[in-house]
Amino acid sequence: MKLLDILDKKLTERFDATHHKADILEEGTAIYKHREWRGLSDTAYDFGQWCRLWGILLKWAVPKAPQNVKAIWRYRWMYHYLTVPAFFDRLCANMKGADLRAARNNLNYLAANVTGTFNTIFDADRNLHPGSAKAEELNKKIICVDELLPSLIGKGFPNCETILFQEYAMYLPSVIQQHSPVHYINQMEIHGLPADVCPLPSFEAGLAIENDFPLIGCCMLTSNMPCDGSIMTSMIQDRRIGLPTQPLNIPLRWKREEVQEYAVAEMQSAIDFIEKHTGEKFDWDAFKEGCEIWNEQNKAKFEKWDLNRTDIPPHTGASAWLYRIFEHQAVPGDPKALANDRKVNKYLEAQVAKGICPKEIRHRAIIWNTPCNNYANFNNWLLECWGIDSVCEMIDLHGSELIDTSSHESMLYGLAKMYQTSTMRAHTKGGYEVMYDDLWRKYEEFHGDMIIMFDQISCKGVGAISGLFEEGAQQRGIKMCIVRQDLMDPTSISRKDMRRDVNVFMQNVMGEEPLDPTLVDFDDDQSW
Amino acid sequence: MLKLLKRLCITAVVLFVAVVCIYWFNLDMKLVKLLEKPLMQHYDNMERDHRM
Ligand code: SF4
Repeated sequence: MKLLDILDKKLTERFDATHHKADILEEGTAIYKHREWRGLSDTAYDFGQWCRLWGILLKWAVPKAPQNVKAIWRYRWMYHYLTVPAFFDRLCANMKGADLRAARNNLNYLAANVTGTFNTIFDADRNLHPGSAKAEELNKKIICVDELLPSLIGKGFPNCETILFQEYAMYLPSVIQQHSPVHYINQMEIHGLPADVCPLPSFEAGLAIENDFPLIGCCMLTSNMPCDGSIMTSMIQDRRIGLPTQPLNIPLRWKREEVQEYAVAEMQSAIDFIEKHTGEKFDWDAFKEGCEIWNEQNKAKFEKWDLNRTDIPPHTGASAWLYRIFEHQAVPGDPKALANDRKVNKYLEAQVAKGICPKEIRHRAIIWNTPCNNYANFNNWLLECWGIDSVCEMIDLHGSELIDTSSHESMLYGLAKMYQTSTMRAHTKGGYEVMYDDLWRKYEEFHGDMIIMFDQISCKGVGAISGLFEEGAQQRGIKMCIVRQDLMDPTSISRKDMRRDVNVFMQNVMGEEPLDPTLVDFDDDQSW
Repeated sequence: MLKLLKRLCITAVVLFVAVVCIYWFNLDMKLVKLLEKPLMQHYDNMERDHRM
């Protein structure tokens, strides 16, 4: 034991890059010269989880190697998935203890689920298997839904696969590799579509124009979520993809009781549409089971929020919010996700019970507005450079109402409510009381001492009330740092620009010195 | 039998050390970085059916 302690001490002296992190990053690409030293036991844990990740990737890649090579050759966005280990390293930067364990388990769950879905997608893809009768047979049982629509409705069709259509070609690549949207946004602009639309719908339009979506499924549910840009891009995709399509219209003001009847009717009509195109009958028992699992997943999330309200917030950053988005949208009702939640919560509870905080926290920040996809590890940088821990994030808070499973009617009501409180939609389009009032409530609840407010320059709905936020913070005497970003377009606002906004605020308003001076200004423009 | 066991042990240790080196020196991601340029060139040169 003593020998291990001595070894740990020696290796820490030699390799620990805390407070001079930029020294182990390559200039420009920010690729690690060598991976992080986190102390002997945490580095060993991280190594084990990295091996597990490669195990997951190889388990996916090897058995269907020719098909997977073909997919990488065919789709530009598939290259970005090869960089996933680097992406996970970025999201786990500087993490130790329960934080690291929670992050690695969440991310590896995600990797296992996504690679499994790749098999479903590529087996059936008409681009990879043109004219294949086998692929057509598989497509009869694939329901495509817009990525903003949670897949929970699919639990009522247990013989079918429900795939979030844009999740794998657009959303995930945009967080994995910051430059992945640029080519597709350019395509959209070259074809004369307006350049001032939010990069998310622009990316989707570019994929459709270039025919880079896998062609799968027997029908498609689109939606009016989250905003007008998305409605426009649905039309462009619809023309290109050519599947029987039904728009699922989701009311904006989800707090109001008078819109619920309409929302439930929309859900029923979506079920009728899927039944018609798959030839399957909606299975209420299977759906009930899915809703009950989802309720448990949600309760596990509430526990995490409770833990983050303590003096030792053990689970913060993108490995928490990205996992939450994925869980809400892609895997609600999945028993494996629930098992992962319970495992993660045990780590977190143990750390809080022991009273150990393995990170240097100077500030407890509430992060408001949609996070920046092209800088998913922004939270890690905030903590490493300035000691700002993101104890609560707006994007993490959606869809938290439990579904009453006592009758078919109550389940449909709960499902409709869940869809109305979908990712981004719940706050950015949910009205004044959820976007504005909720911020101050969360500030109190999570014992915040500052706010990081994203000024997402393309999100016009939120942009319209940015002055109210500033006024509100001023009236309450709350320190609020405004950080410009463009969701997933690094060519308009780079990571460096975002860091500059924080640096200026921390130095001039807060009058503080950074924890890690090497991270204040460094070059990562070519980074993934 | 003993010889086989010894060989197996040596192979396991060598493999373990190799994997640790790949992990520590980030060799997996440095290799993926090398693939980026040729693959992007391939995607740029692919025939495309651009349509609205
Ligand atoms: S960030 Fe704003 S504009 Fe962009 S998709 Fe979301 S709601 Fe729409």
